[in-house]
Amino acid sequence: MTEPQLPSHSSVVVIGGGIMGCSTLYHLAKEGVKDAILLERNKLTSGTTWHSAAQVRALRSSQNLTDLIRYSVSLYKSLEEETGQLTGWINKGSLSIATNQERLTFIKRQESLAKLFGVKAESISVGEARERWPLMNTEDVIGAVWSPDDGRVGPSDLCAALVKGAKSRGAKIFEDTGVTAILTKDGKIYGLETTRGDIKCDAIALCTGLWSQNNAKLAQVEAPVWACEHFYLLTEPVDAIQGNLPTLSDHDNHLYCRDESGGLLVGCFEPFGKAIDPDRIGENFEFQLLPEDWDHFEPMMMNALHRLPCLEDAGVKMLLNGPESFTSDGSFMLGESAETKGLFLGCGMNSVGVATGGGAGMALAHCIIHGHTPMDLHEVDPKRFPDCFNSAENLAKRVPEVLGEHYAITHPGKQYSTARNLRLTPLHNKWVENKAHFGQFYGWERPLYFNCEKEPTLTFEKPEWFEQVGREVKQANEQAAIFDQSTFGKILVQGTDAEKFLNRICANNMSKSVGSVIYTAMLNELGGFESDLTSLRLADESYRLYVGTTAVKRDMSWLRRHIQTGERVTLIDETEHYAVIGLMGPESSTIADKIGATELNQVGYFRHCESQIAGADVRAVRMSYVGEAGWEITCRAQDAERVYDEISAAGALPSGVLAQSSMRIEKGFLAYGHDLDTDINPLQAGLGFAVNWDKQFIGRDALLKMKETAVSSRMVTIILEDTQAIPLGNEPIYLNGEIVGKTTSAAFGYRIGKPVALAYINTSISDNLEGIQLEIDIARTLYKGTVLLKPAFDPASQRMRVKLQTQGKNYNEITG
Amino acid sequence: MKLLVSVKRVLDANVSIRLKPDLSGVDQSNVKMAINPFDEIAVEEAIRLKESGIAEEIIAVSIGEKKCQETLRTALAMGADRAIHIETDSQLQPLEIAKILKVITLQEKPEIIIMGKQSIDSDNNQTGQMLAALLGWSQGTYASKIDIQQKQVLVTREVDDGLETLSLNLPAVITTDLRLNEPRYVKLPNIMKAKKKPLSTLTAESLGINLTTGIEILKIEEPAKRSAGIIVNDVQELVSKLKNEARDIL
Repeated sequence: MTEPQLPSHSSVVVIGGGIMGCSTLYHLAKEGVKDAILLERNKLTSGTTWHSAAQVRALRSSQNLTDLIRYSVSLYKSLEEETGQLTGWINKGSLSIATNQERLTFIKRQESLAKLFGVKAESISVGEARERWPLMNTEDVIGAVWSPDDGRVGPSDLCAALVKGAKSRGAKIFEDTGVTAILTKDGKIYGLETTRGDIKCDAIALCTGLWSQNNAKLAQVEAPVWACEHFYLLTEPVDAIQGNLPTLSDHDNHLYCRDESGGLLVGCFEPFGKAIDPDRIGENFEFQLLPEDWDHFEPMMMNALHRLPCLEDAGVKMLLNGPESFTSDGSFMLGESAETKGLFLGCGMNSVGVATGGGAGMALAHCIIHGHTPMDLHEVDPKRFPDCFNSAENLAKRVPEVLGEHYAITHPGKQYSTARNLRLTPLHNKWVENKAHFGQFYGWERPLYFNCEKEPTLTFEKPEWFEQVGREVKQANEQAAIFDQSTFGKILVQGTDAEKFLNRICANNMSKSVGSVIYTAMLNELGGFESDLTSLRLADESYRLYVGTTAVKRDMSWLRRHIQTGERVTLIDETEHYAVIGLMGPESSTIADKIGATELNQVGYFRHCESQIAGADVRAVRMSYVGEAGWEITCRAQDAERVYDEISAAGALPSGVLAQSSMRIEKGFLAYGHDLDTDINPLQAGLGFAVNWDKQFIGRDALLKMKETAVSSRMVTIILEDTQAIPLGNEPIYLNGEIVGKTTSAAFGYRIGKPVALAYINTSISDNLEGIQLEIDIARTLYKGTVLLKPAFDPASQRMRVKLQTQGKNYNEITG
Repeated sequence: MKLLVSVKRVLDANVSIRLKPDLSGVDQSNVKMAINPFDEIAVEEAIRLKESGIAEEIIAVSIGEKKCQETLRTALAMGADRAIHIETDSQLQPLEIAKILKVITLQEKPEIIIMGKQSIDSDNNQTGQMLAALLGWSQGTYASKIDIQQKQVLVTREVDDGLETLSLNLPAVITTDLRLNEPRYVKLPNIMKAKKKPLSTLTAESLGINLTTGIEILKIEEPAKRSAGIIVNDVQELVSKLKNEARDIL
């Protein structure tokens, strides 16, 4: 396989010869990159890929991640014909079983999702499940879902086929070639040094699996990947097994089971895994395994014996223990790094490497060639990780739990318990005093709700916090509530060219006067949302951008990369310098008076002003994410507690993230990552009002073309009739038995007394969508709902824009 | 009849070996280990003897660091009744191992000792023979068949000329060769049962014998890399090369 001479230049160098490297190389070559090469330190597949159980199950949490796997399936089938090399693709389907009600609800939700994504999945009876898997003990099984299109593949054969396909198109592979240095200049890749010579290149795809964190550092890039031990049992042939079986997913017992060479393969994702010290898997770790750990495996072994009684008599060939790589949130990394241009990451596969590899390699190659992934893949954007997870200590603490969560039920409100309290907001102590139940977002602890006496039991039914959140909403709706919004990213954009720069990057008019607040999208060339943010013009040459909690790294990278040579713009991440305190509710103006912050009652809607609270300088923005009158008040982090004390003494009470979320959904305010992503444009999101057509901005041309034709799908609000329904988002919407859309965010709307969902639905179903009756499929039960084109609560936003009274004087609101 | 089986923890046969950077030995850190395959055959043979009613008790012994207990658990899972771990962190040579096994033998009084003919890491093929000599017992090495009679054991040995069958008086030391048997795959219930079987630990130092070895390893190096072959043009050239060049290499 080894070619004699390393080229002196190659447009793209793929580092790492596992499934990700092989697939990426194949797709680069297929897309016409004639001089792509792959460097593998040892031998192809010798890291994790060779011992992968190679299950291919299509259904993931989103349409696009599911599509990557479906692409893999069709690729793995067609590769045999294309290259003459078998991939070992066996299509026997997969069976998910449930042994408790929560799991049953979960697999039914997944079945609904499958129908939304176009993946075949059907609920079947326990009897039918037993027929499909006769060796299974079904005495405690209460339900099952059958997915006929799933299967598995031979990982080494697959890579051989991919490599053959790549080489036939001119790509070259160099095994036994290690990378010793990556060369960068001005934050961009220009080459690398290897054990066999130097190569100049324009882009690098880092697909080095377990070793990616160290390798990424060669390019000053952080790739938070950590290895864990992964176990599966192999038995000698079992008489009762004839031919191939479907995969059995017994996730309540943390197991996956299938046949292997006439015997059984039983693997597990145990509740708490074992992180691997990097010293144990050095550069010589080639086709190696780790020691069997029967003590650790024992609980899983008991589960396996329960589910497959025939295991008792089967001779065990081995308990394979192979390292697999995990990330801090259980999703892989695919895309350009934040730190170094031209350094692309395709790693941290969280045990879905072989399943996703075909599609992921395609997406990564596309990203390298075209500058963006073929579809929105924000869930696996390498720029989504907070810096606190670059630390070995935090990662190593978290990944054993991530492994355990691989098969966990994704309940609403689910939180990790490891690696917590990494970032505390300036008001953290106040929240602790108020018995907050915290959630971790981008490393930050945010109060989900208050007065929490004990850890809540998670469920798909009515949550334990339902009444408490209702009280917090009421607080904001009838009196005054305090929200901690300190986790928002704050980016200072300054310079002579700041206005020009922002006008080019942002869709809305950034030329408004000092004192204005501008809500705008940052779009890509295709007119899709890269971000949405609120900008404060502080001075002629100074803007403060407030971006989403999880968006800082991504948005900083986008801004930085779009500064043109010679443009006089500086960017500063000020996120940790400031606290942001939301004061919202009909009593907020009285409170502003009480505490002597009179400017607050004078500033117009969607404008900002300076003031003082408790002697501290503050800047208040008259706006509200929850749709009540009030301000988002920014102050220095060190002043936050005394500002809070002052407001709190004047009668405001804390409300948490869940209350905020419920309220913003009632108001139809969209959230990036849920309702907005790079595949969504402002027209379909109903945010066309925030676009300034009179200037040139990134995405304008694409949007103009879209404006000419009607949007095929658009954002709407759906109010459900049944007050007991619990929509969560990501549910299919039916009209007369056909799927016509999907929910993106949902909550119980306490102010309107009904569940509310935000959704994208096909515009083709009617000329006038207002008032149409649709059905939302929640865990395979249909719930009736009515479509609204305006927000569910206070559609005219009278409460947010209300005239503010102060000391008997009236001030007109001024809309920015 | 009581059987003593000695098992060694060695590098897994599938591992590709590397030397330590200071060339003082093979790098065993973080490498997958396994029971020495020939010892596994020995354990299997012992179990079969128990299953056929000839042996009543099988004791497995291993000498080395704490992790040897994993190897002993494998033997217990296969069917040994109890295990003895002689703990030491020193690298011991065959003579020292044989001395230790002698002490255990005198303690436990087995009638037959079965062990692998050699370990796949050091390939010495000495311990069984030395142990028999120290004990003054019969020895049957490279056994491909074991047949226990009343007071004797018939051992068929694989030798260069073919098969040789010896009749040994008991007690005896037998070392196993590859074709003696094919070890069973252990079943899960037995793996669990193994945890409950007795495993006692003694330190090598507490046995009161001199463990200083007379052997010093001077160096360890990798085998010379094979150089590329040369394609010759015709028979004449081949003969010429064989005559003039190949001789130097041989």
